[in-house]
Amino acid sequence: MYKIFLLLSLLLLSACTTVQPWDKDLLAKPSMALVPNEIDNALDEHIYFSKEASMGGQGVGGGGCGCN
Amino acid sequence: MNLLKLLKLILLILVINIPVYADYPLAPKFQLPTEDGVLSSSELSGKLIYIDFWASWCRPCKKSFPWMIAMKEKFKNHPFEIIAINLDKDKALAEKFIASQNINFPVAFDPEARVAELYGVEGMPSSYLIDQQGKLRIRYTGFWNKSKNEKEKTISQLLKKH
Repeated sequence: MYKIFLLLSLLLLSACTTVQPWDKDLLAKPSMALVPNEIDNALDEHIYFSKEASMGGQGVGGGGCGCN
Repeated sequence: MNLLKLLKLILLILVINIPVYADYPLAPKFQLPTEDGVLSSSELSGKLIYIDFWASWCRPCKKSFPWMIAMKEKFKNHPFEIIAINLDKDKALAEKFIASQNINFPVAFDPEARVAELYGVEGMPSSYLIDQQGKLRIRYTGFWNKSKNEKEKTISQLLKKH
């Protein structure tokens, strides 16, 4: 069972590939941003804070054109 | 000969065989279409060349254009050329940006990124300085305001050497 799992995991690795810098045009589109609409996001965060009495934990570093 | 002496001898041979200096690699040659025709890197031999790989969707790439325009203007009386290689898949997007700038150097188009692959572009923008002997001297990834002066100094130094 363990060997089958390992083999399947190795097969899945073949799907991993490096996106070349010049292929990141779609990722750089504003609609691909993690927060496409700042106002909408602020409202969502406010509701979340009111309901859960906690906030944050949504941020992710990096992204975009791959130059930073 | 004991083992220690043998090891010392091998080490000595290895040290002697280390090259005294490392030479710069030759820059890959290319031929790409431009708005006016075809640009060949061999046409520019004997000049200092600054190659910039860019795309219209990349903000730092667009930010680097005013600096490149200023550099071309500053060193216009020197054997110095700037070539901007566009990597947009949709040429119209590049043309829209080009029309918005007063670009004073050639822009070549490489939509399939063949030349970018030859140069091993790792990020956008990527720039390369190729000296008068056609050797790849320096490679820059990204564009930052803080490194502008240093880049200018390097260009100036490389122009003075020849």
